[in-house]
Amino acid sequence: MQSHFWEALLYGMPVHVNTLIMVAVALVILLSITRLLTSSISIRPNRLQIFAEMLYDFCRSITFSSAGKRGDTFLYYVGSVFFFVLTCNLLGQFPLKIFELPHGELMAPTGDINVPAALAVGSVIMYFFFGLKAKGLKYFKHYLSPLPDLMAGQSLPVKITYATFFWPFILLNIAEDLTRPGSLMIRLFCNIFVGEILTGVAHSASHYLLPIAVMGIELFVAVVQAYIFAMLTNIYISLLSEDHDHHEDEHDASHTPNEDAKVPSLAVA
Amino acid sequence: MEAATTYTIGGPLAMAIATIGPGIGIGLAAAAFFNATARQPEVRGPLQGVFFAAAGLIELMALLGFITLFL
Repeated sequence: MQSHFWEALLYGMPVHVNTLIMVAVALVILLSITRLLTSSISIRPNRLQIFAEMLYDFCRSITFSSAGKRGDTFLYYVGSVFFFVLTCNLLGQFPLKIFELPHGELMAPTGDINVPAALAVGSVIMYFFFGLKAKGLKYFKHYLSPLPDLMAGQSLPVKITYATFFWPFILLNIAEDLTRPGSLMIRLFCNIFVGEILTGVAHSASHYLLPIAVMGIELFVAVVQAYIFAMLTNIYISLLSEDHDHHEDEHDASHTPNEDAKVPSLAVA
Repeated sequence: MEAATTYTIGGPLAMAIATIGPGIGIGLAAAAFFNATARQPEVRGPLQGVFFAAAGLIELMALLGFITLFL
């Protein structure tokens, strides 16, 4: 594992310079594409604007599927995460070996565990932020999750019995805040890292046809993993910022035949 | 690469066993997805996202097996 990275010290902390280079490249690509697509916005859209609106509709279909119109408040984060992860994943499929580095080699930035870890921590911060914004201090009530529903309308001995037997759920709910980012991080990192290893193994077996097939699979995996990361982030945020008092209204509103109900179908595969 | 690499049976075996369950799981999910799509083709769009999210969740079990390769 040591030979993969070009390690350097920044303020006494080790950083992986090749990962930083690739993240910077991904950001430059994303920003320039965004500038290009939004350069000429008008009432009568040209092709670039239609393409940009298509991408926007796709991101909106992710948040709309679980949160409805409420999803527009966190659409910017989910969409940004989707396109950043997608760009990072796809960067690994470029012929990066032609660039010589003093140590290590360039690879997909999400194949370094620090990038998925940072993204997962970002997801946790966002669902805490939106949960606290939507519910205030009532947000912390969800840590007690099965108990209030069970205890509603019961007599005191029954309540005490429930509390005696179901208190470990509180620990589980707290542990969920750790397992959620952990699973997000491991899923993204392992998929991309396994892809890099698989391409290497295929390349050592045969130089021509086999790596092409594996890289074709990798393109699919890159899109699906970016989609899953955005989808799970969206599910966590919408689940934890759901206010039960307004839930019924939104449920009715999502079934009215307005223009927002027409969500484009998910064209992933 | 000149460092001595030791090959053990435990890690690969754990990886192999860990892939059985998720393979069955994703197979079941895909079968249910295909059945639902065959019965009601219009449900394909909304179901596709859910299917991929579920497949990602199931896949994590195999990836945890992959991590044991490095432990």
